[in-house]
Amino acid sequence: MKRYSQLLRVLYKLEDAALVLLLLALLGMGIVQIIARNAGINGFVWFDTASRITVLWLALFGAMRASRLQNHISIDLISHYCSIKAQRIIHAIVSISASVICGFSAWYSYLFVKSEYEYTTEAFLNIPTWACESIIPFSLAIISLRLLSYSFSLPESALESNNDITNELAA
Amino acid sequence: MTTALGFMSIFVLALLGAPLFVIIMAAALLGFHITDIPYEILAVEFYRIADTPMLIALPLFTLTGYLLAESKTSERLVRVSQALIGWAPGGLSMIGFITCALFTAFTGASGVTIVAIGALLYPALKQVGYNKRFSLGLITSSGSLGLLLAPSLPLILYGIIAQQMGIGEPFTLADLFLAGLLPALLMITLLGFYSLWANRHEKIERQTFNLAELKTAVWEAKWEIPLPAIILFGIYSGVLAISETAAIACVYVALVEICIYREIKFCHMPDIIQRSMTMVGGIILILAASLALTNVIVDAEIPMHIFEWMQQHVSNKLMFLILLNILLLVLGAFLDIFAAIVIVVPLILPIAVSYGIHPVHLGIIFLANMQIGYFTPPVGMNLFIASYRFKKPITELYKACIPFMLVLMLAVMIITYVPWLSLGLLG
Repeated sequence: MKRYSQLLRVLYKLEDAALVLLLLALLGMGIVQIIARNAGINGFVWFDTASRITVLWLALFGAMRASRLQNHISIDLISHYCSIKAQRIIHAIVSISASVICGFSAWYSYLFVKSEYEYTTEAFLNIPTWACESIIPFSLAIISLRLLSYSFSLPESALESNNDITNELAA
Repeated sequence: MTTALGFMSIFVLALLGAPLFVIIMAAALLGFHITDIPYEILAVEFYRIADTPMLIALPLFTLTGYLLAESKTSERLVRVSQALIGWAPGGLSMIGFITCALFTAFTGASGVTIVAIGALLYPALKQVGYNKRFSLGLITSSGSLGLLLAPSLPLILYGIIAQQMGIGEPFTLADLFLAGLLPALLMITLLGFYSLWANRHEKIERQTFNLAELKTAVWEAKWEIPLPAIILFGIYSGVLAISETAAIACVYVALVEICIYREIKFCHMPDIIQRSMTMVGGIILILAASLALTNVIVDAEIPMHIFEWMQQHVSNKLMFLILLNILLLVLGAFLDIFAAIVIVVPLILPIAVSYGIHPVHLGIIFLANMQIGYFTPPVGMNLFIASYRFKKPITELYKACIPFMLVLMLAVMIITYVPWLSLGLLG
């Protein structure tokens, strides 16, 4: 168990580091492009494609972190008005269903990436397109697993906001 | 029967609080199932995120906003505007409207404005003689003012979705930014007049104009004052792409806040980047899922069917616009702004264009309505944030916000029925 939590901590650190590195790469490519264009230097055309793919990776790593923090945008009109016990049950049902949908999507995304692997096309600088796309099934699978593993623990933020609102209404 | 059951389950999951991207993704998958499209297409649609050059600006502007919110920019902004217009009648309330609008344009209406600017202005407003209810209403309703100003994230997101759909007259993101200017000014002006009228019997203390204070305040904020100009120059000079403007703004703000003002420690940067990119991830994931759903909606000609049905009941553009305003006000009160944009725009845009509404005008109408939704009782998000921050019962905030809501509704009506306000500057 201790090993498992250590492994998780390393994974979280890697995820956080990836976010910072990808953002810095995006920023760096933007600035170099401006300088290169004004200095009349060609050869950074691939930065354009690389930047767009970086945004995809950045977004999906961000989404993985959001799922770790149980911090997704949702509509949630009902659970505010339920008791904590009812909220726990709703949270479990919703999380398990969401996990199944994400898992299903991850599987079919994997099949798509696998078919892309067979028709190797190049995204930029000899990097194949399938490698750039591989983040899609990977991130969906991670999000699916997290939704499942958190299905029996209600996010703290939900508890807090529920209490705040109830207190304010009571006041 | 199975399809209806599927959509019902998705709807119930949405109401119970399932992540929005999951809901949209499930609806898209069900759509694929009905129209015999392979499920693998979902990944193709996700990958279209990497085919959208405008999206590069989104993470960079978001980080810029987070950096500004983390430093003491709000204090300097309030000080400069206080020295500049604090002497005028209704000066402090105008300061509230203007600073909130500017701050929201950069940081998004995520509640940061109420926490950062509201917390500074609320005691100041009470101190000079504004009554408590008016001050609370002002702070809460101004928390979303500025959504129409560049480079606000919802404006960028609307532009991306409308352009992806390629319906109606083509436009650029720069056009959309320009279009928001006059409507935002109209809102601030109307609120300013309301503030003067509402406090006509109150004894409001006015600050005397002090040139030395103005100089000091401007000198203190000299590194942040050029920021709007840098962004406007980048976007409208044609020298830089919007993503490049965002990169320059981001580097500039990081350098100023870390090296010059030293209000953000370098070692805190990874944490700020992670938090801002988590928000970006959440938004883009919803966008990716909605690209898939939009295709299903367009393939199934749903907007066409709605339009045909509506033509039988809604004969003209004016009637359509009235219905649109009512619908958006209701949606704005219940849905998160990003969710509303990705779900509703693909449905409404084709219909609005069929009624002869320009996509840029629709965008401004859409966001102007959503702005009011932020503080519409009973569940507008800013009501809860203000209630929490100022330790006031939520019912007191409902009462405080209603006059401001009515003024902004008037503004929204003018914006809706006078398209020139949004389109006049586009030439």
